[in-house]
Amino acid sequence: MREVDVLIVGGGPAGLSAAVALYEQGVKDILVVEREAQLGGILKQCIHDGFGLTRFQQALSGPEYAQIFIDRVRELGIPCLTNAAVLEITPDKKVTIVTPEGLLEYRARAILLAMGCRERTRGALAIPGERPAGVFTAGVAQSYINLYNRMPAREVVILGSGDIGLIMARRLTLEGAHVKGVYEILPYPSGLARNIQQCLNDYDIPLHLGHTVIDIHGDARLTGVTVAKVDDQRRPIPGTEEYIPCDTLILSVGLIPENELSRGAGVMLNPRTQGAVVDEYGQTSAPGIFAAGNVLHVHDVVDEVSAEAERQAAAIRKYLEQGALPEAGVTLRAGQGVHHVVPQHITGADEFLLSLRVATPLRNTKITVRDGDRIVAQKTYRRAVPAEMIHFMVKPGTPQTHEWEVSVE
Amino acid sequence: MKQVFTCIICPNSCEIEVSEEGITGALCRRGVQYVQQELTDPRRNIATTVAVQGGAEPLVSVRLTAPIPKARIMEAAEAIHALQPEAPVKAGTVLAHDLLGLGADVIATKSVEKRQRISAGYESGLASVWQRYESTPHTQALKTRKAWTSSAAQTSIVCPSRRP
Ligand SMILES: Cc1cc2nc3c(=O)[nH]c(=O)nc-3n(C[C@H](O)[C@H](O)[C@H](O)COP(=O)(O)OP(=O)(O)OC[C@H]3O[C@@H](n4cnc5c(N)ncnc54)[C@H](O)[C@@H]3O)c2cc1C
Ligand code: SF4
Repeated sequence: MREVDVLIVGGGPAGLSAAVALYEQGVKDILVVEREAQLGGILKQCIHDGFGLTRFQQALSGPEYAQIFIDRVRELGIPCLTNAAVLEITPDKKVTIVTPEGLLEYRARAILLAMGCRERTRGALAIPGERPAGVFTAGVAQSYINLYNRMPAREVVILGSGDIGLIMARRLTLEGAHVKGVYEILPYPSGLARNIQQCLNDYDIPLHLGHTVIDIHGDARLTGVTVAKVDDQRRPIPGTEEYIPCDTLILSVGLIPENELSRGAGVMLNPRTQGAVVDEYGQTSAPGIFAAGNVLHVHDVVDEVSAEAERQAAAIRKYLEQGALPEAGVTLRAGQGVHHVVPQHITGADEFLLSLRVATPLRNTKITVRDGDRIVAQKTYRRAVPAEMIHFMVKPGTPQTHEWEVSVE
Repeated sequence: MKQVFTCIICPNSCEIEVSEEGITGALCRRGVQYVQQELTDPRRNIATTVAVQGGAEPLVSVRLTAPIPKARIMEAAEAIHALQPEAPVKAGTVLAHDLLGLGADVIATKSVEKRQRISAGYESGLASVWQRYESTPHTQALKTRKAWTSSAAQTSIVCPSRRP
């Protein structure tokens, strides 16, 4: 069994940003393990621009953003194993990796989980109907078109208004397909407003809120879908059904952090984020195992993924130096109107970055962090929507209770 | 008359109102500039892919170096798709100068290496596999399926590095 100080699972932006930050802070015994042939994660297929706006003040494409970090990793000579998938992580930080040359076993002093997320599929949605070809998740369609030169669609219906679906609506249009409409079950879009504008409105693609696909038709290939309006319980309203002929249905119905490995490592998951429960250091319930990026909670923009990974890198260095991090004895709960918060535990000693999503769209709203009767922090927002992650620094002051709550009013 | 714009410059997606009182709601200067541009001459950047001749990967991703008038987007996309760069392509290489006279260059956003020629035998073997694949009943059926328009059937089985 080989030994390494820090083993990073996943060579996407989270893994690479952490690797560079660790190395620059003097932690040089690192190994990045990536199951694909190339580093860069999901950014390889996100060819549109808009990455790196905060970090580099430039609208880069996904591959360009990734390349900056890949170049830096190469320059520093940080070891990266590609074509190598982590199969198992044990609670005592033994890692089993499968490579084309066979199995490798490592014992790591610290591990960073940076496996990203995967897309929710039709199975997870349970749409009834036939099982023809022509039903893809947005990310799969994106890789067909942007990486493999396969055009999977002509007449398209998109279910779900997640960002990737919106980006794909524009992408398919530029490639000559006809996008008939985007159908979203919720009464509000789940993607960013800027993507509604630049991907749908710019190309006259209609967005139908409060609608869903209730049936799928076709034998070998999709021939059409039936859509219907839904009521406020998200149940289809009889009499509103409409048949739409199409050869392709694209699903953009959410991302799920990829946490199979984490479970095996004894890492506790949060049912709301579907990522690990972490403290302000990004440390999970398993000491020495940290998480960053989309595997922890789904981010809107990659700049924040990099920033989070760098914060975690600093904490990992501290962990290696001190053997343990201060105990996070205060629990942070998502209260009224808040879908989830990250982190879920804090020490109450240091300033920390609070990330959250609201449960429903709100205007002129106040977000409050409460420690019993004491207001720890309060922020006013003109507009708060579930599609946009909210974050701000919180100075904890002197904790009075061990159960804090974050709520909106 | 009041008009509402969604700023697309950054993920904040500010809602910016334009009325007699002026431009309100932008969190920063860039939003105001965006709306002024939007009112007079709306422009967008586009990103797409181009087939690489002899590349280790079939496609190179590209974008424009400057936004172009919104009304010319589809025309520009077509012009970009007609490009045929040869591998190797380095990220940042200009693949076309001043596209359609619009004042923007097309640049590669990733690098694509040259395809390694393994051996002449391998290449001709690969070609014959393609030929056999093209002539199977399955492929023929794909090409003629009614529900699946003929152009779509062709593109669904397009050989790498050959654009529909
Ligand atoms: C389909 C899709 C499209 C997106 N489009 C946009 C967009 O348009 N704009 C935007 O700002 N953001 C977009 N995002 C989000 C953005 O790409 C992410 O914020 C960012 O890529 C997350 O980085 P990450 O490192 O956490 O995850 P990823 O980029 O997903 O990287 C995770 C890496 O871990 C590897 N991995 C997973 N499991 C293992 C294992 N067991 N062993 C070894 N390696 C493993 C994966 O192969 C992958 O390379 C998109 C996300 C998805 C899923
Ligand atoms: S106005 Fe400024 S902050 Fe607001 S979306 Fe535009 S660029 Fe971003």
